Amino acid sequence: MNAIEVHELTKRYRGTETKPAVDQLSFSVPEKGVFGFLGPNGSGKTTTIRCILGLCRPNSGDCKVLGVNSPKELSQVVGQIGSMVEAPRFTPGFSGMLNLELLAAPHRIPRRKILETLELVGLSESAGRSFGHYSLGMKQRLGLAAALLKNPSLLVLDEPANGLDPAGMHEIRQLIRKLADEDRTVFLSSHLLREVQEVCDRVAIISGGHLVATGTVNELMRTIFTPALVVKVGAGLKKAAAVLEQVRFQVDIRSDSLRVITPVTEAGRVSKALADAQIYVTELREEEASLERIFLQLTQEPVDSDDGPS
Amino acid sequence: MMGLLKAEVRRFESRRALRGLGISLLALCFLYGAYAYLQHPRLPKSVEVKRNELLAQVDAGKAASIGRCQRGFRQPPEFDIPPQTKDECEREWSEYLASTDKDRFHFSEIRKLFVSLGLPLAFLGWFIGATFIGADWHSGSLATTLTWEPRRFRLLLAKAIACAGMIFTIVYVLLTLLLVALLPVANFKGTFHGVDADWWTATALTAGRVALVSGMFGLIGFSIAALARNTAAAVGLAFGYFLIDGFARSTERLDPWLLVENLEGVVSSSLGLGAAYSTLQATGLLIVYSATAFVMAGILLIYRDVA
Repeated sequence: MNAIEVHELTKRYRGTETKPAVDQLSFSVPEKGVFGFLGPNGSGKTTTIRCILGLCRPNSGDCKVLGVNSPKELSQVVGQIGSMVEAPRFTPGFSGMLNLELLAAPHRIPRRKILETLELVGLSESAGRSFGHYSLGMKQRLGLAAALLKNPSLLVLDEPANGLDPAGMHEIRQLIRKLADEDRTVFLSSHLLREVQEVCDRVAIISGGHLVATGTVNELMRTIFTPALVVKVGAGLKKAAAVLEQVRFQVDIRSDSLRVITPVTEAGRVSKALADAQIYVTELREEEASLERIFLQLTQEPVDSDDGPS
Repeated sequence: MMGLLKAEVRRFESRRALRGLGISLLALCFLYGAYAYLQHPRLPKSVEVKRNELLAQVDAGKAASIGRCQRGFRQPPEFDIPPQTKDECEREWSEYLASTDKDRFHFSEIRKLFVSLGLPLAFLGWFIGATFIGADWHSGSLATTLTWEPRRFRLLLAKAIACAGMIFTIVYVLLTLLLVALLPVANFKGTFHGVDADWWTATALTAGRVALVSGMFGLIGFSIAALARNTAAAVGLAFGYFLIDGFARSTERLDPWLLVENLEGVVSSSLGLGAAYSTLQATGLLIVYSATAFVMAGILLIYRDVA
């Protein structure tokens, strides 16, 4: 059984009917492991998650979560689903502890469990402070604590590392990996590709509300990634590009280098063509295959700067 | 459902704004008690004895008059006075009694005070109901709660019951505290004349009716704020309605359907203060109004996107 199944999901918001937020989207998330859900800002990730969790009503299509239809039968399995959608939202005047207690009370989750969860996300010292006075990182941690409180078999996390410092992001990555190793399913939506590449077993990439690729990270790298060479020359990038194009190489000019779309086995031919034109190569290497490159290739969108240097 | 209800009651009582409001109202009760104490003079013992004798005479006249009312006594046709009910008789005698002994504080008059507080307390209930759900929409915590309880109608119902129930309790406790605050005034500068077991029962019921309409108005405010997804819309509508109600009351056809008119019908019942409708009729109509508003809010919540 799949943990999540999304079938031809379409969601249009009022006022933007001509451009659906999610358009005929279908994918499935297998049980256990971490599933990355990638897409540039505005690609429909959060809308999809809202539909999965029953917060949004799709115009057509359907979602199944843990084998039941969402939102119709979601209440049957909601006790097994922990979720965090976008920025966590709680009552600002209440303490972190009280906010969690109010959520936990109808599910008879004991106070001890709340304290343990707060400890797990590193928020036990600030549990008594008002949520309104929390930093963005602390709010994220409280959202994560709320998601973990039910001891869920399925975790749906939308940008969980937002607002966290590098150490916090590292902690969250480790926590997500640990949860997946405990035989849970983690559905992780993120635009931080390094985070996804490090923790995810499988990914789905969406753009403009459409699914553009899905599979394991290795599969995508193998099947989608176009091999290329990065070439740096002393001077005259444009001239070098013209020379390579004359010998039928496809070339992209970047700020300080050329990207020659060809396998590494052609490196000799590239070097020779440039040398023949009296242009000397200062650096020539194979472009590193990464999720970021695949993402760029599929979505044609610049990667957010907080994803680190490429 | 009980767990959900308990959580919502706790959410209600934990709101700082509502706690502040509760403390302010409590302070107002005792300030009013102090004001009433200062407003009434302490009479010499001899004057008090004479006044009590006078009140005994009034009582005798009242008993005879009410006896006639209960036997279906009618004025002769040429007087052109409609037949009096027991309530009307009691009200007339109560006014006469107050005018006979007006510089003393009459504890028995508290019921009238409760009735006059019916309208402001009902609109306070409306405001509290609106802020309770409005705050959930404003902070976005409703979306978080829905990821724990996806049965939306059930969640809204728990919130509505908790909210209306808490408003009922707050108003009832407030009126009881007001009564307590006025006890020393009656003891030292007034009289408990007319306060018997029947009076206590009728007063408890009056307070209950004031609390009931406050709860129902709270539910209407709650439902409107849930429909509009913010507090301001519900509060604005309350003010707007209050203005329109004044004009609409002059139209006989609209009169039976107005909120304020029916509110008076509920709270002033036992005093017979001239409300046009029976308590049952008015209560029924207010229940229909508040239930309709709530069901509309519930149905809309089921189908709308919660961001």
